[in-house]
Amino acid sequence: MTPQEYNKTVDLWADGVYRFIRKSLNHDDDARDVVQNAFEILWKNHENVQFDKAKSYLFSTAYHNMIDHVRKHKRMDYVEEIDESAKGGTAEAQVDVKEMIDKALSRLPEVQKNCILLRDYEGYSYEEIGELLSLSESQVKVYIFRARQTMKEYLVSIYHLI
Amino acid sequence: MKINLDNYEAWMVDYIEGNLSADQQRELQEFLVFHPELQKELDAFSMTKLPVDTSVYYPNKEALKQPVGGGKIIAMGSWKRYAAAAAAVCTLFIGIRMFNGNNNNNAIQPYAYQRPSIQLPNKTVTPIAQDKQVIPVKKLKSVQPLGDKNGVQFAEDRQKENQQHNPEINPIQEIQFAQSSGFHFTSEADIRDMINISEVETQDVQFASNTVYQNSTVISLNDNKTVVDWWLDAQAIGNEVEGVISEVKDTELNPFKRKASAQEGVKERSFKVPGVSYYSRQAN
Repeated sequence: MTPQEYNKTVDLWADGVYRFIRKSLNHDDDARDVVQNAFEILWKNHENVQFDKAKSYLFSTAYHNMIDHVRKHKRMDYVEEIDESAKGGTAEAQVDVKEMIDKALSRLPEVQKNCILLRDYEGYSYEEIGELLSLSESQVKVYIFRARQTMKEYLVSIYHLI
Repeated sequence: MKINLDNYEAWMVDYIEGNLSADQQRELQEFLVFHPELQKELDAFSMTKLPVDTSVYYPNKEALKQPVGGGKIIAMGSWKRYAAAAAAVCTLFIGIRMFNGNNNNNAIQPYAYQRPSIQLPNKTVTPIAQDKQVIPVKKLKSVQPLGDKNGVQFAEDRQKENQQHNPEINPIQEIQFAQSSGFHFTSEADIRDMINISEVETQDVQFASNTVYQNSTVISLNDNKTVVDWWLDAQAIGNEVEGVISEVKDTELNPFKRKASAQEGVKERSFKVPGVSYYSRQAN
């Protein structure tokens, strides 16, 4: 990959990889550090990485950076509980749908969340997600099914209240 | 397989994933005609398809770029940007004056921006056929014991189990073990699910083994309604899983000895393999 192609990689995928890491980590600064670090690694190896492989290299590097980062900082967001007060049937009608979906997403186990983010945000196939996250295709499919099922149940439970 | 009340969720997910053929989509629609109460579930499933959140983007892409000819590209602060822009305008203006002064007959050609052509990689969503193969289970890596009381208990239990069982996880043996312990797997899907899950569990345990706190995953089988939960601390599990995982009566099968959070009217079944625990429940 030439320096020009590397810069094109920045233009094309910096937002996407940042969105993936930011949504997964749920932390702006940490996500920025992880993405910056991933690009530094990509630049160091740019001569050995083909441009057409740069995106998956970048996502994979960022993903592994994120895991290292979480281990290093011993920080992991806890799964958010359903708001107990909302269970009483007093939920306000003006529930923000986006916020609700974000909440449903944040309740997922990390691996399921990552599968969903890569699938929906980046349009990756099951096979590609499997390569990035070191999972088999069938595992990815099962994770995505369970993630959507968990999110659906949460959304249905919220809708019952409205 | 035809759509029915047991598998409609899988059909709905396949529908929103774009994995259904035209005939299958029709079949789903016909099914919903007879079960209009399930339409809201399909609507909720559709909401799980996340739109790209464009409000989240990398704040300073220029700082990530590298020079093409030497020297790193450094992102400038706003005043520097204005100063640079002003300098560029002055230079351009002076240049134009000089150019016009020397070559009055030559009109200046406007600069035409040409969008660079970018070759995007092809992305195709490939539907995956149901995998009928039994997936071999990976060998577990050893897991460091937890630092707290429960963790030590957990590690001790695990050590005992490893002495009792073959540490090599053999899916068939484990199924036999589970069956001999009173748990019955009546369908191939159950067995396949169990084996898939054990891979999932293995990976998570491997991941957790390098951390100070123990991460782990509980898999709750509820036929088609399988839930995977993640928790960071065995003690916290009772709270984290909010009743999905409930107390397992046989403490030998429950190394976590967690608080009961069982709901009434829920049958439980449980089994475990060395180093990995599975809990499941089935609603009446």
